[in-house]
Amino acid sequence: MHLIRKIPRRLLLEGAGALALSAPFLGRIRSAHAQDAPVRFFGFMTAHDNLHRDYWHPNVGSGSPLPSSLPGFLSEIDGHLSKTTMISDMENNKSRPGTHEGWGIMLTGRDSRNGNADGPSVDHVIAERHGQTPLVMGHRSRETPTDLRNYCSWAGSGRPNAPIANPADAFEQVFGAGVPDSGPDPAAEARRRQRRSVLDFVAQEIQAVQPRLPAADRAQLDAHLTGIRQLEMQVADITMPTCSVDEVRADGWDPTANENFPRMIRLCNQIAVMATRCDLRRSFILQYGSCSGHFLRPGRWNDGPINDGDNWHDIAHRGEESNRIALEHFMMKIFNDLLDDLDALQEAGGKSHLDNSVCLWMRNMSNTSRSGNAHRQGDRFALLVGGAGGRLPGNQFYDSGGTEDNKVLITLMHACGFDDDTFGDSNLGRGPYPVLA
Amino acid sequence: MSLVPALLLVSACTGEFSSGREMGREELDQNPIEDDGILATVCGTDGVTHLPARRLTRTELAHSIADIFGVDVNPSVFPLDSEDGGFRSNRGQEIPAVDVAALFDAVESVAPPVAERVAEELGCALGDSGCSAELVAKWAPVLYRRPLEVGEEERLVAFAESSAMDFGADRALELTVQAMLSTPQFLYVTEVEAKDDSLRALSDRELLTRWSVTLFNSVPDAALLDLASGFDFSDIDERRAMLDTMLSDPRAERGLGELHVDWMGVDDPTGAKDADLFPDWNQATAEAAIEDVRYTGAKAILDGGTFYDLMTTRSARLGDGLDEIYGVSGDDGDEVELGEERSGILTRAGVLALGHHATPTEGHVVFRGLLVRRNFLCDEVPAPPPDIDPNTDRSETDQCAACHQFIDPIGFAFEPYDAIGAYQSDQPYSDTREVKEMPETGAPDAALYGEFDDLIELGDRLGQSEPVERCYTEAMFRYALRSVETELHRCAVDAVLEELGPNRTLREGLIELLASDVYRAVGPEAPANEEEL
Repeated sequence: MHLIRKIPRRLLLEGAGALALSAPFLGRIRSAHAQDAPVRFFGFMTAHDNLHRDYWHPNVGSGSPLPSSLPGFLSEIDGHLSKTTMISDMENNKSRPGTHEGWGIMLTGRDSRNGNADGPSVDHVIAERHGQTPLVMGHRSRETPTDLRNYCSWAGSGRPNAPIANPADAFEQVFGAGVPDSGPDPAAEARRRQRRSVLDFVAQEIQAVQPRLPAADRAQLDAHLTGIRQLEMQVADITMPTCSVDEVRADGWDPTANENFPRMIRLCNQIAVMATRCDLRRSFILQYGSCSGHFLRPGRWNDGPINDGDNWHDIAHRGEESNRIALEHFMMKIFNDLLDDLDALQEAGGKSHLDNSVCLWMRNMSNTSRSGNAHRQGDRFALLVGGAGGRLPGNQFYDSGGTEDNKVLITLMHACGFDDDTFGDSNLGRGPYPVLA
Repeated sequence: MSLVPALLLVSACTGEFSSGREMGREELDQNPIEDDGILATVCGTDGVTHLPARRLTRTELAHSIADIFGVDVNPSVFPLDSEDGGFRSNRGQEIPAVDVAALFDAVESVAPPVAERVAEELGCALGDSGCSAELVAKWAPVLYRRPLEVGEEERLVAFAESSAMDFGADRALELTVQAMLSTPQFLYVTEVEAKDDSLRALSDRELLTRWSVTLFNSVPDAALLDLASGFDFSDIDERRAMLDTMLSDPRAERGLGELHVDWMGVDDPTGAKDADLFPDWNQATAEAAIEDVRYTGAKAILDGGTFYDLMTTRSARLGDGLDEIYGVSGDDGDEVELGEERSGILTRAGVLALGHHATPTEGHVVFRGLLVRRNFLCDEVPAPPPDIDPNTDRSETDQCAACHQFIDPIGFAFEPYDAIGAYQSDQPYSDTREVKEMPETGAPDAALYGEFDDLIELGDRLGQSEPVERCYTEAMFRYALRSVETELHRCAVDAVLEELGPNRTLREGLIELLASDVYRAVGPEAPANEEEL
């Protein structure tokens, strides 16, 4: 039922070469980037925090440059220190960080209502400012589909943006069925036509039923019809070119299976990079974990970093120290792969895509002890990596002094070109941190 | 700040139950409502209105597909539901585009196995002469829950035939099934015959649909439609008989189980527990605990029990890990009698462990107390002020204590039951524990006031309380309507309880409510901007 394609990393990194395959589209990309390139946002969300501040604090003063090598697992991104801003010691007593529930609402800047976010998350707001929706990909727990705490991207109160768990689906949603270099895939084209025929039929039925309904009922069906029309537009967009395509998903593998987690997230990384290179999306959430990590078992991942049968949550709290550190290294390396890929793509004016992006790494909790067996709402840090079109100078460490971490989200908005004074609940911090150019 | 007492108002109930007042003849021209005694004679007709459409819930969709086609579907493939009056209903909700996409994808994934099942019964291939018409004639009226209207059959047949031409017979069958399952006619429950301003009864199919989603948690299947055709729904005795027949169907446990799961607010099995303290707890245990809540509530009704029985029953159904939590022996699926530390639905593991009634490490005094105040006493308890510091000691500040003095003393009764609902016999109540009591303010029944020994005594008192039973019955009516009840509905509840007398069973009450003319009456649509008028 799905596109059976994969994106070869080699092709992906070939830069403009693949773009040349879609000449009509190339002009649009160039014109979009020739002047003031839009700043793209990437939220990199992983599971349960493992490590006490001893493992990550760079031990430099606030306002200082970062050390030549970051401590521990953070050293994985040493190659991007010049584009890295580290903000530490955020504190928040009002919106429940330090709990599993705090994970899902971390990007909303608001308290939750039983796991239900009370407003849109920053990725959604940024996407909306660009007239888009965010591309949310990654882990979607099969065991806990109704647990709202496991959604971190929100269109609004009670409206989570569920991550697309299958890279093939994400690919199809972003790029459609067109393959400019080889012509439309016959199977994908047939599927598109089939979906289109069903959607057309449903739209027709809604319109046929509506006239005999009371006004309130008609309004409900109007909303349904709007959703159907959006789907119709997606499947109708057969002329949308792609940058490069091959098989996103080979037959016989389940992208939602625990053992395939590393493969799944690497593919999602690549789709995000392709989507930004083609300027099809400007806000991304790479959801590579859940509120607790209970349903991910890193020790059973194919090509995984550790040999431990426990789930991520229990490893974080009770696992061997070496395993906790190895797991953090593994995920930080995935983050670094994303940074590498963005930095390898060139834009106008000699800038890379990373120069015109902001990649956020942040968690909602830390640990009070080196043993890891606790939650803590303080002692947290955030990484903002990328030049943000020149708005983030990089290579700086800033100690927030225990101020509210909504200011991270506000700083992020400013970095993306939106000078909002507040984000979410205005009682939880106003104005950006002084890390902007 | 003080608690707002429940809206147990009976002021709308004027006149005598047994005295008649004829409805205007002009109101009865079509789909007339027989005067069964409540609507016109007791409660008046002013509150009769049209209920907005609602999208079927995820469990209703899954159960409907299972009943109609014999195909099991995991409800979680469908988008999340919204609540109305504490029950999952999707009533009057405009679906977000993201949910339309999720719903479309879900139906698309369900269509192939359903089509396979349809093919077994169809006996012909789409594209063969007459096969599309046969397919549509057999399945569409069931899915649409009414005879097809002009144009509907033609459009479906045309879709099936053009799909067969374009994509082949097998794929066309899948697509046609997908199309039918994606239509608003299937996905939305509408009650369209009240489009004009008349006061009238629901059509037989509309009434049957309400009953079916209430009792079976699914829309009527072909067998139920056939069964219903043998009853005259204009006659209240025949409506009672039909309902009694439906309650003898095993699926009634399903619908009535959902009533109690929602009433207790414990439909979500995904809350994790501390793995150190509760290493054996997992989602399967949580689902078994929810199933036990379903069983407990439904059994009380289906076995002819009273409200007191619901609040004191020791009968439980075991599932994954429940034997350990309950301290009994037995296999999964066994029905067992629990020990003396369990009595009634409040002492069930699912109620104690889920729905915010416990944290990952311990029971939650406040939410357990709130459960009683809101769901058994029908109190409207205000939410904490938005500016309050969550770390504030709630007993030490006036702002917090104003409400918590009425909540926490009830919650203390639950304390021996830990985060997974296990009874900690080595940590019984002690003299140093906070006082367990039903504070006088806010309680609707003088017999409820005062201190009590434990949760068993609390359940016993609640089970004997007339106002608490009324509160439960209102919840039952809300569930049957999937809408917040009005004064008219509360009036009907009072009338039914009074008519049945003190020895009434829950089953009798349910049948009387669902058979009543209040339940099946439908009036004009409420003005869209009513609050501005």
